[in-house]
Amino acid sequence: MVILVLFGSLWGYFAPPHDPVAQDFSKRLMPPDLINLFGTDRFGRDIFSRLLVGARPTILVSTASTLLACTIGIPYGVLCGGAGRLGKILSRILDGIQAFPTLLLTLLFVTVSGSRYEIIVVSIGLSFSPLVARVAEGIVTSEIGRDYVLAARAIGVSPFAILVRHILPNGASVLLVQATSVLALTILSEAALSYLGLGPSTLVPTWGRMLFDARETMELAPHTVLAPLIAISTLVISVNLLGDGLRDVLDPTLVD
Amino acid sequence: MPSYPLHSLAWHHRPFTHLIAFVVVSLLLFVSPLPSRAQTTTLRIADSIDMTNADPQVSNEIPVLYTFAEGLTSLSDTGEIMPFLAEGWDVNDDATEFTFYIRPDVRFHNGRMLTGDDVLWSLQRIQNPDTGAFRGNNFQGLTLELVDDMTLRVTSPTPNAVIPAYMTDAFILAPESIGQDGTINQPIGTGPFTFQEWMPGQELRLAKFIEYWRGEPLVDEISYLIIPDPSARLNALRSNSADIIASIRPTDLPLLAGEQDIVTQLALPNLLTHLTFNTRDPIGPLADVRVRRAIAYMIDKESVRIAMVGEDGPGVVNNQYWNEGDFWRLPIPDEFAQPNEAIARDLLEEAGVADGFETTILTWADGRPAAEVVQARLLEFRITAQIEYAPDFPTYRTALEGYEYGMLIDTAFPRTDPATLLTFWNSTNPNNIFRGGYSNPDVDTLLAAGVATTDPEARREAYTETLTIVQYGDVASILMVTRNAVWGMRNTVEGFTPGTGQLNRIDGGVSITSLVTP
Repeated sequence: MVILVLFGSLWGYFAPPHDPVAQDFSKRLMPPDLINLFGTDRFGRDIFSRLLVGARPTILVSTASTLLACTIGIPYGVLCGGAGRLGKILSRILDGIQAFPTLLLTLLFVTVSGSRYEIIVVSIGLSFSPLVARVAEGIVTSEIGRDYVLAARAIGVSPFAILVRHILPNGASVLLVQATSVLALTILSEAALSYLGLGPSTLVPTWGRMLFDARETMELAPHTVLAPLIAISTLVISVNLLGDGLRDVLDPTLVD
Repeated sequence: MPSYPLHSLAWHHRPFTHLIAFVVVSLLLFVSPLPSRAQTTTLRIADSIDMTNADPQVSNEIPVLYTFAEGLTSLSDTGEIMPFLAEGWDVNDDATEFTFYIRPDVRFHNGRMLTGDDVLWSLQRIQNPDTGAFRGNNFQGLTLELVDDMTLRVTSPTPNAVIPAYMTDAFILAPESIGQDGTINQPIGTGPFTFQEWMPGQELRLAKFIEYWRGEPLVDEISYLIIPDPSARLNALRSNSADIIASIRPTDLPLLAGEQDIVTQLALPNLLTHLTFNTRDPIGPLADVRVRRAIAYMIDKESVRIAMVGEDGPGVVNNQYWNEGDFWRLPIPDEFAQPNEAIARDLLEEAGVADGFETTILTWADGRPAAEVVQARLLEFRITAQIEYAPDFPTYRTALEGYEYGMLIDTAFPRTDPATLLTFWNSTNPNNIFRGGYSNPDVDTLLAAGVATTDPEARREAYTETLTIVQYGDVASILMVTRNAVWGMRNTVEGFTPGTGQLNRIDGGVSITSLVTP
């Protein structure tokens, strides 16, 4: 299903069936038909084409946010778990950050800094980095007392090398699974931001923005809200299933 | 031997006795003629915009101010300026001297009778630039003096026929309103409702003023709810969380077709949706009048109309504030009534921006549909316009004051007189931030001429020329669509008409509104 969405995104980027921003007021709120597969919105724009085109920013923003969350979260988590007293202090700071709901943090960043794409990526990435950091910290904490770590320390391997060469590779599968979970959450966050009217206000539609626009017409033309809703749900479920699949493949404890 | 609580034994031994007692007591309570407290009737009105200040003289103009503060005059539903806190007025032949006769039977909310001193104090306060009154500009240069205790004379150095119109929103307050810090947080006015509690952005609570000079109001309280989102506001009405709501989107009217409990009414004057360029500090190619004219030729006003009100909604394509049939309807042919792609492209070519450029559209409230129509149209000419949507009025105002936008799309609210509408184009008016900071000495002169005569034809001429220069000479603004504001109310509301949109006025409003059982 993820591949299908990626394919749809490419289709939308190179050759969408209709111009996703072209308005045709003679075709406002038309129900789905063979020409407009998912109908049209209040400006007479083709919803299917907008979904295809909207997949790209949705995927790009969520993927970039997840990468940022991992880039910040993993080293921070490693420090929390492996830096002794400093790690404990960092860990308590993490507790403090996690006390704030993630969406609230994202809203705070976007409200203060503006709603450009790069700001949204940074806001979502920063907000979700504690989720990755906590898992990374757990891996380090649980592995640090293992025999192979003690053996490495005994032969004089530096702590940094132990973390990078031994501990992190052992926890890579768990981190990868966590990253897919975060990816699903960032998709929802991007949609939520756009739905709240805080998404980037460019001509390129995003799925959340389509939901936002459809609020005004959802009673008169339910198809306008159903299409982006189903698209977001499908992508989130797909990514979650992908995470489950990766866990099944990569986690040695689940191998029969 | 185990011990049992006495009451549990009693219960097990006489279960029916307890049950019967319970039923009898319940029935007695249910049918007993115990004196019941009289129910407080609260009229819940939801609107999109909140006051910017508890001081009505300083706040932006919104309908609720009129519920607790009043002016010497009032705007009638037919657009006439009528006596209100003044019983009447005289004017000399050249409209330089107005004498207002103040009503002797008006009380302030603190119980004190209204006097000429209060009126003079209020108007001088509005006139004082330090007050920062929203309408302070109207009173600059006027001489205010009391002829006797209840007679006010207003003298203008030049003829000024619209002084009675200015008085409609020059709110008269008791000087006791001023708090210890020198500002007004608890205004004492003369309106049918007294100011109780204001939670900015959420709610204003008002209580009825029993000694109101036009008679005791029919409801006990008003809860004025701020619900900026139009869908949420409509839902508040449909779910009976509000009795009256302002500014229903015309495109939402089909949703109310089957609602038996809800009625809608159109407010009388027009709302005007306009696109106005930032001409104070124009950004990039928009400084070139040819580019602005090209954009005017691109815009399809009919598409904007449909986006704003739907195919059959209460709105028309227009290039002025007044519709056909209105007295003030001006003879201004609309050069931009139809889009003309060829001229637009030629102008862009001539200005050297045929390859397009980037700009921004600043909007707020219900301006988004129009902004999206314009945005899509500009893109056809390779002009990429980012929409900057301000979530509320303070944010919008701050953005306007920053002058960092290319163009704005906004709605002009109805006013009492053309002069009060067009004064926004006056370069000396601080409120011309709402018109892109427009400045043209010729327009200033025309606006001065418009108020310097009582001859309606001469005034029409001045205003015709003003709007012609603004729209087709300088192309500072493109007036696009006029529409009626739509109000909705539940069928429990009686006696309410939106009229001119002011919630208390000479011939309607909340002082004669009641709530009944359907």
